[in-house]
Amino acid sequence: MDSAFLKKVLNGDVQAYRYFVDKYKDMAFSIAVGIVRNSDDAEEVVQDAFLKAYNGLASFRQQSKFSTWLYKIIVNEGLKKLRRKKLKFEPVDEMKEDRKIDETRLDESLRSVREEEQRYYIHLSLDRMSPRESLVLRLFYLEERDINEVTEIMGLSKTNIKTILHRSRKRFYSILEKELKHEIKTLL
Amino acid sequence: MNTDEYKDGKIREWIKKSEMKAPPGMSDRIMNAVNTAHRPVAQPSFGKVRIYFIISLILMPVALFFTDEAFSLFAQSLGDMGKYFVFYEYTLIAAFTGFALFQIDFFMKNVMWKDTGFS
Repeated sequence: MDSAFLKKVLNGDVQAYRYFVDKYKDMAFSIAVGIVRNSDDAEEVVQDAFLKAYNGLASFRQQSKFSTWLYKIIVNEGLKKLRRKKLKFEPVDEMKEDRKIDETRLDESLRSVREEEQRYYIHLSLDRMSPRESLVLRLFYLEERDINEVTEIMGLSKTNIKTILHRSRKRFYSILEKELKHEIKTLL
Repeated sequence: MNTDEYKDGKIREWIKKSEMKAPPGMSDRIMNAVNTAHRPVAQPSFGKVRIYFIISLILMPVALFFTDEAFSLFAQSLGDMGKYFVFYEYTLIAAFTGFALFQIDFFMKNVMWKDTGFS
């Protein structure tokens, strides 16, 4: 489907590009927010990325999916934005503990709060992580990309991505558990 | 490290809750920007450009040789008047040389230096 619309755009049908914008805008926005951490900057990043993708469409060789190529542009634009704001893409602190977290218990704690609160805690936990870590989690679990695609989008080695994925899962569990414990204590 | 083990578990369900919706009107704003941008035009692939370049470089001296021969024969048949045709022959050679230079330039810009910022 993507390639048919790609052909249309390259043949001069500018409006056909809306298909890509409508299809990928939500995920593009989620990725951008994960990097720049605020909606205004994220929208700017997404807009720049879509425009850049449009201008470079003729050079897109279709060796990968359009979405993979677009997300790669979004990651690059997001990083550019971070650099302009002199923010770092690296984690601020390293995880101190490496203990096993009971996923079932954590799930029970999460279910004890309302749906919108669940969303809040998940967003909060992702925001407390480094952009790189939260981005890998979003691409792997939200967008359900495989490791090879995440590798292509992030421009890192496979081993690096696997390590980040492993570390970010632990960090996510740890932050979520900490936040939920605090919430449950407050409720009691 | 096998990442397949990560496919299961609650984390997928949790992360799914973090999906965000793009702000309303964002599609229109993007399309407005796209409408004012230059239209992308399909470019020949690397393979096509390379084949075109190689064939042209092989054919050009062959064409030049036969043109030169044809002009010489034609000039000879004209006798004294033939000397004026030498001028046209030189013009043709200059045109071929110009075309060859254009091709080399095109090849450099579109294939060798593509996306490097040098073109």
